[in-house]
Amino acid sequence: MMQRMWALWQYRWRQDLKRPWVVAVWCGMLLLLLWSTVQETRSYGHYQRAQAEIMAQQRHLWEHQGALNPHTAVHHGLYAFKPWLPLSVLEPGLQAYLGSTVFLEGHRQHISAFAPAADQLRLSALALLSPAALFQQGVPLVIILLGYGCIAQLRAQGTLAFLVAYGLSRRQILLAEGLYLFSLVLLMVLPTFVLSSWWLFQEASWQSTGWQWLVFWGAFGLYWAIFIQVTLLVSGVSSKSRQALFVLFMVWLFNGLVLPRSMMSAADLPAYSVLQAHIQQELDTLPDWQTRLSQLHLPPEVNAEAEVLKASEADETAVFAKHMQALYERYTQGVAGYYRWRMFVPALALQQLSQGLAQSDLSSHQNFLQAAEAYRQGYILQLNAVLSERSAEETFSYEAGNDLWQQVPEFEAPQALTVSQWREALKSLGCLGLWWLGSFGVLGFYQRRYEVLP
Amino acid sequence: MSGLLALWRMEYLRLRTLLFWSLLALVCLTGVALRNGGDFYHHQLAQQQQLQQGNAQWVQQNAAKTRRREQALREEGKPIQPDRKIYRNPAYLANQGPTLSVPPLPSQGLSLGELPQLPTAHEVSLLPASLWKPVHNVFHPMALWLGAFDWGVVLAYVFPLCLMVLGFDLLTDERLRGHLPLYATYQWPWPRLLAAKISLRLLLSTFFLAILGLEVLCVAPRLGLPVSGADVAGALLLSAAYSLFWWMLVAVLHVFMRSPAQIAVILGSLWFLWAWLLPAIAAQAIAAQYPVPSRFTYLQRYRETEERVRKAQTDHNASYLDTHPELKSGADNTYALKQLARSEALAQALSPIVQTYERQLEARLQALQWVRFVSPIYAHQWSLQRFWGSDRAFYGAYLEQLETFSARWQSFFLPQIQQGKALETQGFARFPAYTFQAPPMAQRLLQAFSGLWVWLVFWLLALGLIGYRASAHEPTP
Repeated sequence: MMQRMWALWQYRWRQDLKRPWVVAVWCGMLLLLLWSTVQETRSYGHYQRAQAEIMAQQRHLWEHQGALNPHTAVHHGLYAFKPWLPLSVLEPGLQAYLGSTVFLEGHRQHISAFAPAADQLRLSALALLSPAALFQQGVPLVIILLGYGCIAQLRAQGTLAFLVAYGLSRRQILLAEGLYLFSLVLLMVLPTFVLSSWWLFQEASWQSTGWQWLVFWGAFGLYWAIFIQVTLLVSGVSSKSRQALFVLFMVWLFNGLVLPRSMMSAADLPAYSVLQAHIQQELDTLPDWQTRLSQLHLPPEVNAEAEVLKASEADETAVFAKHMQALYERYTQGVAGYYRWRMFVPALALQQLSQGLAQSDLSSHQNFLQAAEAYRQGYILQLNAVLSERSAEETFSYEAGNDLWQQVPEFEAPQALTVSQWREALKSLGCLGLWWLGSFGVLGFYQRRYEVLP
Repeated sequence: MSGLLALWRMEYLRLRTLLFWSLLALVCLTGVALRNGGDFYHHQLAQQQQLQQGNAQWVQQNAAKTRRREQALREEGKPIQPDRKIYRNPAYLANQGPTLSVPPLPSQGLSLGELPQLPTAHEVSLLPASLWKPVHNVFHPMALWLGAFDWGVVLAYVFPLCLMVLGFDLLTDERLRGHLPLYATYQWPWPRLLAAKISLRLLLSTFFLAILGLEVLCVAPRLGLPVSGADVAGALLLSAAYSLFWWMLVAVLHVFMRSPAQIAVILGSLWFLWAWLLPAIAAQAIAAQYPVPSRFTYLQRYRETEERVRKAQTDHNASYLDTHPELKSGADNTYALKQLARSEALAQALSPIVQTYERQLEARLQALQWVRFVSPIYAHQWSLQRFWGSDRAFYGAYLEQLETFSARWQSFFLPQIQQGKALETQGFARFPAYTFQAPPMAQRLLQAFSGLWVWLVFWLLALGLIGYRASAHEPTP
């Protein structure tokens, strides 16, 4: 029995290798995958080098400011830079759209700036050529193009009846066809897998990325298996191969391109200038310097100016935190609303999972922003504390030196996946698992009944 | 004629389920696209109105303070000139100028183009306009990554899919069933049959477009997108020409291919190639060929220059006075000197980076012109965006007008800075006013249609190929 299945598998390979268009599609996707991986690796390298360079330069500028009042230094501010993690080479996700740095100064909280997408070209609404986009859209398309006729075409040609007569059961035929498609995908993806994994473990250790890498590839394997099963099912159900092709193409289109894109509105947010005006309105209601001074009732030995500075900084931080938090909440709600559909659209589950594992999603960016904001508050407190130690007259005339600037610690961006990120990723993996089980179950149920004769 | 009508009726009966679902999908997706477009337009409009309100408040507040100050000085019997108050200082006002923005057009909500990525407002200062601080609006990064889903996407990407569904099986099925010789005996040779089927589909696709146009005209204003009839009519005209291209392609494929599945695979692959692969590859290749300077370099240069100017402010002021002796006669110009010296140092340090950036961007845009000739989908999207004013050409007009305004701004303030005078109340009313002149719609339509000549070549080629095969007197294609 195994020998017959093996023979069918070999027959399918031999048949398809004779068709130039099949070879062209297969080789084309293989080369595209490799090309996009190399491109992403190069952009990652450029970004890392540029970031390392500017971080060192900015730190040097900060540490060599010379004689300066600590509060003036707070106004000059610092920049926190967002790192890209090695797995983002395969799944760059949203990181080009999220800003690569955030300015940290006194009195104000800024949004992140310098999104690399502003300098990239995107000619069409669909045109993303990252390895993950190809894994999500390109590989399933190849599965459909090479698999739509798996059963329907064999039936139309009468080969199916012949195979059954030869002693192969319907289940074995489906299994052989499924294995053929899976081996085709595996061989197509293998060079990219080897290249990217070799590169990844040069850049990162197994401890930091190993599990993410494993789940990442496992999820994609599951996703392709779902597509193979759906392709076999539709091909078996359809009376004609063109019907199967039409249905599968529509499934591919709506799963990966139309539905995800139509679910989000880019501008369902407050305008930035309106947000700024609201913040300013609230800042204007804060007590002015003199009122605050009279409200604090400070003993004479305390530097009242510095305490007022600290109190106003704390109030301003609270105002910004409230409004910025509300903005980020809107972002999160948008994403949560979008991924609510992941149970029904497997591409969404896969997207959520792959971006989460590669930390190229919104939640990782928000973790970065939170860390940057905590750092901002910390270093401002540190410098204001220096002023508290001086007399009130010296508050704005005192000049600290490079020693103080060097004492301000460097910003360290969070790099590890949080528990909630792991939980979300595993939920998405669960959705994909359910899809796989569902499609497997339907295929298993259907395999007893599909027509052999045209 | 009656034969043609009978054939059309038969075809309609065969296609009606597909027609219904295709139209329903298009109508629903257009609804979603209009909602997104409405959100975008409102978002940009709110941003612009707030900025304008902020500008007006800024002028009013400073003018009111100046009026009060002048009154107080008069009451005290003191001269109103010179005065060191910052809100009257022309150097301060010139450097903290208003925020200029490009007013959004309702038609931009129909295709967002690159607008969400571009700063649609700039803070005016004494620096050259290219170095003015950009003001971005905020957009959901997830939606930006996905790519805006607007009516342009429906017309350029989804509409051809419906045409493919309706057209991948015109003659092949008739041939497989052996109907073609039968038609031929009734004076319906295959070229005539093909022409009849294509003409029906052309009518149907035009009907689809008309329905979508009506939907946009009726629904868009309710979603807060007051598009004009001309915005819709122009886009429908462009899309009708686009649909003719797809029908010609379908016809050519039917002349050479014999299986509907084969035609479907080729049409699907072409769509995939034109919608996704070619634009993506072209974008990466062009970006690699014309790299722009890193924003990190810009940031570093900016910070270094500011730091250098701060540390050596006295030296900078002195050197600035050497090159600008007219300022030596000014009354109290320390602040102005500081501002001008800083601006000049920043302009000197940053201009080379900005110029390189602009040069590379221009080269990229030139290279992009060629992508239209390899991807009809991109070409149609390009035409729609040019017509609706959401492309780089429209944005370029805004940047050019910023340059003009910058010159007016400087010529208004610099004489006062040089004379060391404080601004008087009447001076605020004479601030240069900024009004954006949008490129006229007729010009945009003309530019949008300029790309159609390539398709004309394709149509002629397709007609020639079909005619050549038809003249061979074959009973089947």
